[in-house]
Amino acid sequence: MTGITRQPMKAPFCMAVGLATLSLLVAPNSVPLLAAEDTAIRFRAVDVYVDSKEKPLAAYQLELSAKEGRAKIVGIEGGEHPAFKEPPFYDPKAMQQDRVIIAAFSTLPANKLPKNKTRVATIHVQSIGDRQPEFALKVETAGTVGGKKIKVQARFEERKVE
Amino acid sequence: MNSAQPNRPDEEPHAPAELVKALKSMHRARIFVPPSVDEAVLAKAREHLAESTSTPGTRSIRAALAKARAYLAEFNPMPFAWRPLAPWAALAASLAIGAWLAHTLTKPASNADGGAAFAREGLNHDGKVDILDALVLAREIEQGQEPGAQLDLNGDGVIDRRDAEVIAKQAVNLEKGGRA
Repeated sequence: MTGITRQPMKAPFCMAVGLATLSLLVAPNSVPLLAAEDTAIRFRAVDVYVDSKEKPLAAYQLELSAKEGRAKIVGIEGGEHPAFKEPPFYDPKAMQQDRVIIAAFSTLPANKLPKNKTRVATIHVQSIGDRQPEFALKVETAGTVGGKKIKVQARFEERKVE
Repeated sequence: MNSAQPNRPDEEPHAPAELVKALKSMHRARIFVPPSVDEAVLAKAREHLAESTSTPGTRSIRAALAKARAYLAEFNPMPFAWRPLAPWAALAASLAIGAWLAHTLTKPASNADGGAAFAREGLNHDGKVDILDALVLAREIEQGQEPGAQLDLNGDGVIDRRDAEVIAKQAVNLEKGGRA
């Protein structure tokens, strides 16, 4: 017989696989997707610096994100200068995600605020696999004494493992 | 019993000989019925039955069903078995429902600090709610100024540093709208 023949087991299998895939797409936060080739978990510390040149830095707001979702944020700590020693503000929902907005302000007088390049925070991330995660850092705003907006440069450096 | 049927089928009936003879002679004479009469009777019977048992609607449904049956017979020689699909369908449906529930239940609640208040926080009037607004409010509070009562953002009756922190938390909210 050359007509169309139906293979009954293929249809349910395809339906189940399709719906399971749809379920994963619908609820990406509830089921982690792991790369099949390398699932080794590593922890990294990313130091975040702000350079306000000669102006005292009174406030900053930055967004850090991991490209391709290869890293998850697991912890955030404060910076090196006393004005920004405390951990910055961040959304707790950023934990276990690949994106965070950090911000801090200080009402200390100008002579007690950092100038030039200063480490304002350290972000601890968990990465999966050997591939180095790539990060993107964006300055949302920064200000000096009195809340006046200033231009700053922000950069990050992954801390070397000793 | 025997009194009701005194003769067996293979026996000659116990009846008067004249009667038996007359009855037997009835079957010897065959009546000829022309085929045209048979066909006419059959056609009338069919017409009568068709009128009595169907309406135009049911006739069209029957015709469609007949066509569908013919189509299935042509292209689907093996009848499609639905029963073996039931466990798979149930599994897939439960997976989908489970994922939907997990997504719904783990979805974070809306901002507990009260989203309606955040339209007021553009303190530096740059159109955005950010950390600079928190800094401005914190400085005003430290300098002893009296910000408007509308800046009691946490609703505790006092305007203090904690209200500035409400603005800061809004500034880092990953789901923020951003515009004041």
